[in-house]
Amino acid sequence: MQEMTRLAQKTRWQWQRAATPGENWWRTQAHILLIPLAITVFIVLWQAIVWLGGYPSFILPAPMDVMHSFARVWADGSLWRHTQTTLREIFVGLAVGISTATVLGYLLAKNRWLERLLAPYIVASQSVPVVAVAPLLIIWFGAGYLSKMLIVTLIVFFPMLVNTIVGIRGVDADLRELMRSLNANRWQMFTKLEVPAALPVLFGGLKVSVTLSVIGAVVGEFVGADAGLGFLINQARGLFNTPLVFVAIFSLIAIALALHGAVSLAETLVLRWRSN
Amino acid sequence: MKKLSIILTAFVILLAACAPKPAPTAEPVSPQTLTHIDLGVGFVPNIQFAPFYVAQAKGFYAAEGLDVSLEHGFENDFVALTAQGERQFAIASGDQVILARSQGLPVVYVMKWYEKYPVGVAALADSGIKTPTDLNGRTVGIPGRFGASFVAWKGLVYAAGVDETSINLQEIGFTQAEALNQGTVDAAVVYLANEPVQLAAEGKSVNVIQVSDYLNLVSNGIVTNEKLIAENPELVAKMVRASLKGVQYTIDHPDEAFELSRQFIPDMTDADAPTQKKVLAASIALWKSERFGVSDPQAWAASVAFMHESGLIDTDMNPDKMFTNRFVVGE
Repeated sequence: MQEMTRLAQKTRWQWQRAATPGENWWRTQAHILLIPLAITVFIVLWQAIVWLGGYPSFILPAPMDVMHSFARVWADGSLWRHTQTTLREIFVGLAVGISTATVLGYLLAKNRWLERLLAPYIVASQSVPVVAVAPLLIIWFGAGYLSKMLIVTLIVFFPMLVNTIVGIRGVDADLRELMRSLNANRWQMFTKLEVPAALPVLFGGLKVSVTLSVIGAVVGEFVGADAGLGFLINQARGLFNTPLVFVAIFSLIAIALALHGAVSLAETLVLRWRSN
Repeated sequence: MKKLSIILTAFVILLAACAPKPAPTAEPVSPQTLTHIDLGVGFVPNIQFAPFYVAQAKGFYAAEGLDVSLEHGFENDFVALTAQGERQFAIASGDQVILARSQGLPVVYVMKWYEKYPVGVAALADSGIKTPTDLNGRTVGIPGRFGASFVAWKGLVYAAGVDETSINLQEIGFTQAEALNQGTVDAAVVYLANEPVQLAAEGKSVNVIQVSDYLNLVSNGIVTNEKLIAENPELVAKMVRASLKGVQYTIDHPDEAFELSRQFIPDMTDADAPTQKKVLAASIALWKSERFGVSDPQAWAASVAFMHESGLIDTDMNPDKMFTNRFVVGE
């Protein structure tokens, strides 16, 4: 009986003592280890499929073939050159698209009459698939940067516009009343209430936009380009070089993930500052 | 009531989705004993595929126990499918076969169709561009830096004294006619049976530089994979025989071939017909040959040498395994 009590007390004590720093880290941060683990499992599965299916390199290349192809185009600088081209199209297209969308979105959010006037045109313009519009843009603006940037702008415009309208309109009416009662002017309303309140929704729109921007750049390059990762996919396809197609695809995935991660990080920092 | 109407709506949508597709009207009904073949080609249904439409419509394929329909898409994908054994035959250009074999695809070119490479450079007459060297220092539009257009362009650079560094080469997609009309380019790389005919129909006077005048480049033909040749050479022989008959018949009877082909090209209107007849005539000029279907070893050697020296393939290759004439009638 005494043994049992001492045992129970010891267990209780163990359970109640504070976790060591090591245990703490393991509990809260260990999920980061899942990422390299998931990648390893993915590569192993991929190699298994190639072995078991006996697939030739031009149908499904093995991970090593893709690695060799990557090493080659990285070493001769061509991968970076193509990546730079695509990144340039993405960044400028995002800048133009997001700035016009947020400005227009704010105006439409404040002015219902304007929104009713423009809404049909905006919705109609977004219903046309970008793939169909791309050749037209190439005819009108040439096969250089401009047409690709316009395609990216078009594809990111609508989600950002809708999110801006929703975000601005979603500002709590009571908070507006409060600001008004404190004699806030238009500028103060904008900077101290509307922007901070709409930020979470705006960041949501931004995350969608950056993912779409990669698609827009690739669509534009498929239709007419002489550089870029979309062009590289076409070129590799024409040469039956499937490992190179994989390299280009993985590069595009990396870009999309990096952009998404950057926006998430910005969101965390900005919103933490907001709540402090 | 609301729940019922939702369920009913979903049921109707499901029914509509399950509705059988209407049978394609252009395809003739095929008896069960014929071997069906999907021939992979590029582009869209077009009069330039007349020999195959004719061979199907006149029963040349049926006489050999075959039922052939064309499958349209990106040519390289069909070559890869044929190499893998997922398709029996595809149409491919000699340069595609060379590129494919350099990447280990076991494809073999079994029948020559085009005698002359169908790509060239077109310019409006008032541009003053008549010979390849006139292109130096000008702006040239090209659909893309890949495919037959790019190979033909490199061929002109290799064999016709074109100075690539002085030329502003722009990728314009398949908008060559508009680009030439608007003057955004001085000249454009085109398919000889397409844009020149189209521009002439618009009343424009066009100069055309043909790659085949400067370089003996192997062009379109039927390809298959090594496995089919080893396991079922009879099928390959039948396909080649019937297809060659189709080519010969089209060249000998262009008007009848045109009418027979129309059933396979539903998008061709009567207004298009006169221009499309000219497209067929321009294509026939590219198919005419002293030796139908027979691949020329010298042309293959010249093509491999050109592609290697232009950097299109990494290693020099032996063309012997890339083509065979054993299935062509009379060889």
